[in-house]
Amino acid sequence: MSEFVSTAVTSEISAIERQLVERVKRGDEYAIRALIERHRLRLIRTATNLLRDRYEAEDVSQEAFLKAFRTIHKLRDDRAFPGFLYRICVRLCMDRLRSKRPEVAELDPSVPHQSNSVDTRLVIDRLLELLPYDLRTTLVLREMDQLSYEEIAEVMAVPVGTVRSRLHSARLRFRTIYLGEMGQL
Amino acid sequence: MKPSDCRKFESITVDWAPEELSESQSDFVANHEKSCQACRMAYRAQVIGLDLLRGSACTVDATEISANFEETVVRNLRVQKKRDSWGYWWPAGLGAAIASLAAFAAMQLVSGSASFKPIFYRGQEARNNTSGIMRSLSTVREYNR
Ligand SMILES: [Zn+2]
Repeated sequence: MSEFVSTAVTSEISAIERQLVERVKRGDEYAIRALIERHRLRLIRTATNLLRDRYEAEDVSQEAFLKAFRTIHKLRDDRAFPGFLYRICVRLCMDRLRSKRPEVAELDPSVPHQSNSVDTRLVIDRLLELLPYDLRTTLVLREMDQLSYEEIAEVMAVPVGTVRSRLHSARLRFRTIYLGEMGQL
Repeated sequence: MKPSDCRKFESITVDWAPEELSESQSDFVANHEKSCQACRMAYRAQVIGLDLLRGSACTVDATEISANFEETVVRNLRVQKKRDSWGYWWPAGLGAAIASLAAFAAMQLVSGSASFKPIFYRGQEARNNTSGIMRSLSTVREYNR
């Protein structure tokens, strides 16, 4: 019964979504606002996870909405809008990560490890900064956004095998860096 | 060079979550962890590090988003639409067309281009031209008769 209700709710949501997208294609500003309202939170969360900067994340999310609405006529299936928007947002984040300063290969050994007092968030920010942008994006989409390998492959426009090997490298590097950062566990 | 058991341990623990392992893989991981400190440390670093990573996922809610988020998108969209439309570009287009016409005319004046015949004739050239026209006129008159 609950499965039936959930299926009915899902199809109703996708019908609303489809209608909104159709209206946006006709230039309806009310529908534009409605779609922003529906999707902004998810975009900002994903962009924050990737960029580790809330304000830059809002900026990228706005850019993603703009790009999506300007190219919405390319969308064949109106139900695919959430994925279309999400892909644009992740790719914009990757562009920003790519253009940022090159990552440092090793942590600075002169910085003392204070495992008891460190702010977890800062440690994670630092660990992610040390990963190349493609490994970082793959790891964040998998571990934080909980996307499947296939979904990551689609978003990043790479084969599933590449996602597997990137995740392997990302986790390996992540644990090596973490071990170095925290010293003895 | 890592011993082969260490490489096997690394490969299993990096690619699979504990609940995804087969019974034999689980046994291997448990036994190797007991006997190899380096692998045990690395694995603990991975488990704790990834837990921290998941725990630090952004949990921003709607109240924390900038008040003008939506308005900024809509306003920028309006500006871009206006830019894309002919209404925005026509003064620039008209200006460019006038400028190119003016430039073309100036080039003609300066170079006295041979590709265009002058409008005004002088001397013998004018007489030749007039006699040509008169001949054409008389041909037309004869035809009309
Ligand atoms: Zn080992």
